[in-house]
Amino acid sequence: MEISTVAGESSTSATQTTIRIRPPRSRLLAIWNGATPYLFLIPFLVIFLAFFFAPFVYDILQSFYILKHFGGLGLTPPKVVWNGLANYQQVLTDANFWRGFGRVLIFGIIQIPVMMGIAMILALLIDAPLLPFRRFFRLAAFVPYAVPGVVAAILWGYFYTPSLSPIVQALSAVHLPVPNFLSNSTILWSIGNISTWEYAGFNMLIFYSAMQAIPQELYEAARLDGLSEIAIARYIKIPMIRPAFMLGLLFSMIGTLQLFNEPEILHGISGAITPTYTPIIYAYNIAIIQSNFYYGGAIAAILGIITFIFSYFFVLLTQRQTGA
Amino acid sequence: MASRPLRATALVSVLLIFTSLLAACGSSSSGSGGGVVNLTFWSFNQQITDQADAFNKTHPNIHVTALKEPSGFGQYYPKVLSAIKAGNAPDVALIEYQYVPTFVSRGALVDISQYIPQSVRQQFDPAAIGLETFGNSLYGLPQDTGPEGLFYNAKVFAQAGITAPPTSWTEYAADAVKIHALGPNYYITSFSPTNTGWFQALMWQAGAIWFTTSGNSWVVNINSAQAQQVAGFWDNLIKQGLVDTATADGDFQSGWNNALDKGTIASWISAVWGQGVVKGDAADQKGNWAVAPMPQWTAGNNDSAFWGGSGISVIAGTKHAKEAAEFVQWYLTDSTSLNIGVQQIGWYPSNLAARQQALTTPDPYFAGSTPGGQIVDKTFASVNIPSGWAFPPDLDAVTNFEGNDFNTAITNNLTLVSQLPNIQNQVITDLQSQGITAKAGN
Repeated sequence: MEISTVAGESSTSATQTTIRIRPPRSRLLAIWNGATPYLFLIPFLVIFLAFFFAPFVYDILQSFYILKHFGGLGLTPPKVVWNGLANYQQVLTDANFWRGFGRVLIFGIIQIPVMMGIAMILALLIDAPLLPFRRFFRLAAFVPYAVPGVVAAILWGYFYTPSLSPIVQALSAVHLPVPNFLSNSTILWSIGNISTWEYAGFNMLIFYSAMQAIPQELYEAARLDGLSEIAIARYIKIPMIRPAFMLGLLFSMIGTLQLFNEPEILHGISGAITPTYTPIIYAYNIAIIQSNFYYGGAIAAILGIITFIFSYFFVLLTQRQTGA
Repeated sequence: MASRPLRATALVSVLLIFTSLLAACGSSSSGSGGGVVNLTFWSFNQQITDQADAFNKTHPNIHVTALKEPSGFGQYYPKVLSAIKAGNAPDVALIEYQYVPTFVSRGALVDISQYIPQSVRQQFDPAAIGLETFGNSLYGLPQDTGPEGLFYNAKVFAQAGITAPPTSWTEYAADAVKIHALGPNYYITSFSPTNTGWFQALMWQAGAIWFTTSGNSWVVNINSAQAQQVAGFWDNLIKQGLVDTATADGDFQSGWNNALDKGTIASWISAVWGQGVVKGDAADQKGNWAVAPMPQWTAGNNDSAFWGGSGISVIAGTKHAKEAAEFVQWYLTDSTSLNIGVQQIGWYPSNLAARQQALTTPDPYFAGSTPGGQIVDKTFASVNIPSGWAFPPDLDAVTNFEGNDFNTAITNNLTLVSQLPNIQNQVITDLQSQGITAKAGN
């Protein structure tokens, strides 16, 4: 009973046709039927619009303004004035922003491969038929992910603080050299250690689930051909879970660009973590600590745009390679 | 499949449901029923609920809800400013003096001069009233002030062979050596590079006035000769490893609390309100601590500076400025409220009548140099505060610049002195970028 098939047909004629054809009762029913998909969408839409889209639009709007005084001591209320793209221009030439950005890039280049490697090995191990206590290991590796990021950082902060750390105390008790986990040169890797501890299990679970979807026939064929378990892992499992691997990689890259919780918590015990340590920490310090919502908004928007471009090209690249 | 207009009707009805849901979420603000004006009050101290209860008992038409908020630079003030922007700020809040210009500059405080008559203002320390007065506007009433002295653990000092607290900074440096000789974990003090307000007070005491006004312009003098002298003094102690620069051992951090309690950090240059902090953190050292005037740059002086000290302000966006101002006046002039403030919170009150009472009670905790306990507040009563220091209207940015640059210095083995020019430049640039007139003073 589709009537609006002709492209460009005026809607008034469509209305008239509908009204003539449908009796009132079934028209109500049609409205109800038409509304059903939207009703199902409501819970998602409400949360999406309220907590993602609205703040995003608000942030963009704010980023075009600036608080200004007009000469004098500034001891009068300021005016909020239109600033055009000047905030954006300032971010693009802001050494603090780019230094933080460079730092998370280096972090990602080292930490993500290490974490993904550990996750892959763990996934292959718990997927291997010979391993005893598989369910226990699967749970044990995943538990850190269930610990909130802030709690994980506090926990590890305790291990890193020289005066409290059992690691430091144990090492110095046997007269071994004691590492400083909180110095300028080590703190980034101390953070990397926390991130790896937190998210290796999560990625492991993604890989492991993808391995469950590999058809059993492939294994049978491989075993008939005499492949060892290691060769099966190398030639079947790893190639077959490539999409899941790429997904995990994408999540990790986005998470790294948005690195915040761990350095913000460790900030309290390490002087090496500055208010400009990562792009998000910088945005937070400008917007919240210095109450400059306008410039902070521009930093956040630019980081968002960079993350979007990054993810877009990453997805494009992986799709092209897999031919999907 | 529904037709286009039907689909539109469906969409509209869904949107209607959606908006009514949102409206339901947003309509939680309660109306003030029965003519009672509801006010909220934020401060750092738990006892404010008792003070608010006392107020509510005697003021049937106003109901104050007091909320204890966590203190700290990175928490409290951003929270107040964000709340103003979000439209759910408290009506009345504690604002430390150093932040008042920053808040005024953001349009965050209400001028209460029309509600507070001169007769009331005269009940307070004129210096403290001055910190709340800008031109003809009054942005709050002063609660307590924070003149500084030297809190020291007399028992640890005696173990190190120090018989009297240092009266000059030269003696202080010599004592630092003696205390560190007690053991590798023993320090005369912690030195936290991010404790910017504390360091500014050390500058202020030496007459290194960082911020002054000249006519309609700010004069920023962070890199003056006196400032370099003070920074150089601490550089020397840091270089020799005589002060504890571990971030975890900075003032108010857990490592510091622990070290005070164990006695390994032996003194603290702090404001009069610090007595409550020492008592709370170093409970095991009861009877060992004492208080003395700050070490001096010029022999025979009694120079000090303000570190902190707070006023009570009416916050922009309140619908009840008159009632809020009434509460502020009651809070700092009523004897019930002042008694709780002085005896339980430990105010060194700006209210002059209450200050006289505060100066009479010895505290057995501080029996390190006086058996039976010192009258702690007395040490702070006759200090000289070098004149001219005015806090800038962008203290949050100054705090970030100073903390960041000193932090860089400590972690990279650079001197504090080498950071002063950069801090000064950043502060001037920041003020100018906000359209505020500022120039260098050196």
